[in-house]
Amino acid sequence: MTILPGFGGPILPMVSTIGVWGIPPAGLGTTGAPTSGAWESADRAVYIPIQVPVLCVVRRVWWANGATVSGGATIEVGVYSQGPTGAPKTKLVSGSAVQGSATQVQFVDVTDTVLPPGQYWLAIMASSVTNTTLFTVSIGSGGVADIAGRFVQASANPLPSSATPAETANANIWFCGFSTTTIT
Amino acid sequence: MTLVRLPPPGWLPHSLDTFTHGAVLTSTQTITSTAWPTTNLAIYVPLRVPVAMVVVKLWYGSGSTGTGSNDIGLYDSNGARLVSNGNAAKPASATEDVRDVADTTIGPGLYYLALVASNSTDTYYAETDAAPMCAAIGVLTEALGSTVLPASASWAVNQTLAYYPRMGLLRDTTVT
Repeated sequence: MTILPGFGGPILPMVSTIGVWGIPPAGLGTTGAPTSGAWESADRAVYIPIQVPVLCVVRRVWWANGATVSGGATIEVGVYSQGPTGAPKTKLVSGSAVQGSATQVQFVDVTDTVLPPGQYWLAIMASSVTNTTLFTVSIGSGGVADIAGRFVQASANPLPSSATPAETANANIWFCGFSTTTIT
Repeated sequence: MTLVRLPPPGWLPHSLDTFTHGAVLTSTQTITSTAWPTTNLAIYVPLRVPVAMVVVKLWYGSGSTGTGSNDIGLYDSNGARLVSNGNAAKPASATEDVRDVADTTIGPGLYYLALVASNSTDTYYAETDAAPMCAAIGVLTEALGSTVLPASASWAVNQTLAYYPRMGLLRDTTVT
């Protein structure tokens, strides 16, 4: 299937939480480039909003492994619809795998899933905090930054079909997303 | 009835480059003069083109060291070369090196700006975020046997690349 670019702009090959379609880093007070950081809580899902301005197809999900991956954690990334109040709602697609090589982008093929233009949430879950790092950038602590940027859900392994988001006390924007291509 | 032309989405100046219209990540971009990572490594950087335009020139940020040569080009999202400058000497000066190319009409869509350098000592302006940042934003590479960009790219994800070059296209002829 070929999808022509629409008024919303070209289809990005790699869509991410802090990329062109992700949350505006400057507006949320991010500082610096993403760095390797320890996962925050076993089996926790973190929901991060994205805006998709043009029809596209999710072909793979991905995450950026940090410097330490020896924990053998299962990582899962998914795409959720946005509910009427602006929170994540229904899982549209996800993929998971045992964490692979350090400091590499890890891809997982998923069922090709068409996303119409709109607001979505990326979700990422790791099954362990032991020797499990991923690339992340902080949106600061306290204040409104954490509220504006993300939700969490405990005991979310595997990612649930319907999100039950909760307020978060952490400020990590984990570097993950989906790919609209299959280039390896 | 009045017909109106909708404005293009976003900022659309005379030059589109890998930072203004690329896939770059953060608001803390630090562009420095840095040696090209590998001899004859072609780096393909995504470029978001919002409207149809005529590409008249290509450019890159040249660092002060220049003993070799390079080639700069524009590819479509399938890896087909649309236009390139061909192999040419790299200046030994910190400057914008503008290359005149055949006028090339392109539509809105995703394209890739490509640059290949003949050695790993010549310097170019680039952002050097640690790997795998470049892989995560869609930058692709290809190891070439020469310093000439191919008609058809055989590109791949490069998990160790830590080099995001500044280069762009011009749709206006003022800058030389």
